[in-house]
Amino acid sequence: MQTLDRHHLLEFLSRHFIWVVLIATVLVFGLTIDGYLRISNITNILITGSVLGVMVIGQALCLMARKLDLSAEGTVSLVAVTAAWLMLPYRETDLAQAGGLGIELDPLIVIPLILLLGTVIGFVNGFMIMKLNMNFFIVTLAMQLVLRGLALAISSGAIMPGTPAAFNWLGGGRVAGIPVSVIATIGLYAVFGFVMSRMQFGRKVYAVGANEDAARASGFNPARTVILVYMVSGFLAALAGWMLLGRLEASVPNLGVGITLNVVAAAVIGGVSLKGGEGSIIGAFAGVLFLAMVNNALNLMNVDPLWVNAVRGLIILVALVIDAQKSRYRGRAGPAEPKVKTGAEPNQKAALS
Amino acid sequence: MTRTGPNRLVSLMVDNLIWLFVISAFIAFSLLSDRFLSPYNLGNILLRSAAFGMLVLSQAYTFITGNFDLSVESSLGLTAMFAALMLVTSEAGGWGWQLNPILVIALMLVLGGAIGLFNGVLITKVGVNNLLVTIAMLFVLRGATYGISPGTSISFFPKEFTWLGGGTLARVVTDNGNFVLSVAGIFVILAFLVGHIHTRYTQFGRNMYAVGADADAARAAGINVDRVVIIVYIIAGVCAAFAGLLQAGRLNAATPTMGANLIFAVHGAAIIGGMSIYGGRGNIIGAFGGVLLWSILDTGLNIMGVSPFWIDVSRGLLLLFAVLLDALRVRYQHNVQVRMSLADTTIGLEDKAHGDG
Repeated sequence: MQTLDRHHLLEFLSRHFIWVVLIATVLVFGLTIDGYLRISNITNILITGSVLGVMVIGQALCLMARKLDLSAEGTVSLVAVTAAWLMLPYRETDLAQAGGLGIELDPLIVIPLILLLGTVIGFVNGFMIMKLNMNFFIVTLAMQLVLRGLALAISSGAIMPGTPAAFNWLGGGRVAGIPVSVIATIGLYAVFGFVMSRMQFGRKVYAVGANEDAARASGFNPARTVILVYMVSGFLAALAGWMLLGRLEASVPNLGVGITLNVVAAAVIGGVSLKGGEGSIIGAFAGVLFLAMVNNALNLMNVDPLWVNAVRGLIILVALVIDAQKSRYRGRAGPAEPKVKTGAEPNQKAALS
Repeated sequence: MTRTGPNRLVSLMVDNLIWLFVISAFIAFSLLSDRFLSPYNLGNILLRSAAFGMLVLSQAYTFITGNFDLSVESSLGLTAMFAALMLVTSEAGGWGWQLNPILVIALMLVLGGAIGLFNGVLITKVGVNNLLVTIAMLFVLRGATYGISPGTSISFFPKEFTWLGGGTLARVVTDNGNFVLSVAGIFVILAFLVGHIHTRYTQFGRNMYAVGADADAARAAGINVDRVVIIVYIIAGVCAAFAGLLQAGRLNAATPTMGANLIFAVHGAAIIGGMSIYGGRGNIIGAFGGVLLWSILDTGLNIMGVSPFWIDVSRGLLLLFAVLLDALRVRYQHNVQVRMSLADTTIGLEDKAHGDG
């Protein structure tokens, strides 16, 4: 009986291993770095994590459907540049700064417009992938090039500062001392956690990711599900662009460059598999927290800026090695989990988490 | 037979779609710009694709076994910076060792191979996801490149070091400018040829395809999967080190940002050349077609004076067009397959009699 309990405990721990890593990380940083657990610093971690977090939801959905969306970072830059371009007054472009189009649109019009833009980009991605049978990797890669190029062309590669306060509310505003971006991100995780584990759409995404042909055979249309996933991913990327622009109050030409690698890393650290049909939104959230905490700790520790990337990579690597021991344990535990994957398995997992 | 004749031609074209793209892009740019066909530019296309090509070769190897290696772009930067520091005097920002260039090249390749070995062991023996290991290594190696660099670029290397990347084998003088046959261009062609023979005609190559198609089945068939994957990562690391050597040689300089943000373009070229990220598909020669297409687009758009902002847009659109045609190819091949399997059944008795001949 005792061994059984021990087995259950280990099983439980390995299933939620990312949280164990997360708590260990909090303890290590909290004990070694002065002021790490101060409220202001925790808020800081959450604020910087929120843009990453919003993008991770979209990417996690794509990964669960056994796809990828490399275009999301392009959407972030295009959306931010477009918004600034529509809202700012006209001025001559000089070396450092550019002005807007000169129509000074109201943020209340611009916000729905850019969210729509992101969704449409997602729809185009999904349509090309599912209806025209084009390779998802190249489609979204090409889309990233197109979007980033458009963003650079619109902004002439210059900074566009001074977005209106109403627009900046999401990225920089606070409600009762709590940053709006943090509330919004946590809200989004709650919504998508529910959608993916409790609603039919979520189950369909897992089913498509586990086996697209089986999903088709079982009577629903994978194309529709995947196109929707890409639309959600595009919408969330646009939201992240809005958030980021609001926080910086200026559109910078290389906004979001290289963030895709961080986004995918956060999702996969959180247990979302690249092979599709696995992982949960709440796990992805843990992955985001982990990356945001590491980034913040590196800032506080005054690591030589030239070495920051190397240290961050090493910390991620160590976390991964520890994480791999988990799957090794579960692999050895064997009989506790069916070795043969069935189409139904991801659904059960979704229902459990 | 009369019916299979034209079909065979179509099949041949469909099977080698990437070369059709390469030739059409070549013809299109020749018509659009009179400078594209100049001898100088033709030599340049190969030279500029050399380092990029070595990265694509590294990915072609890992793709065949169904793995990623995103760290190669950083390996390129790190090996180049490492070599530069060992080559130049301390006044020029180096470590002041001024080692023999041949020894430095050997050390670079060893470093690349060691990085590959490290990746491979973490993936197979420790069991970490291959994409994540190499993303983390991408950060670590790029960070280390910045860390060991003096913060600026290092330039002016000995001739022996720059020969492979920047040397010339032959120079043909014409009225239109000079055609330069670069060492790097010939080297990259040879490397792809060796890679093709290695993956296509050796036992190891067949094992690679088997691992990529189904690792469990390969293991059951007695293939040492871990060993195959580790060796593939070592090869990828050495290719990346060669890319660093070619790039540093061509520019006669090493900068900490060298190779940064190249990886997705590298993947794009490999996939458009027919490789699959799920493994077991495609061949090295096709990947070389992907490299050529990418650099033809690059030089072509540059020569036409397209603004750098719009180059990315047009590159993306052309890429999309190519994948669309590729998707149509897959659909066509699928239809042919269905037709053939129908012909094999009793339904298509007549066709079968003629077709099998």
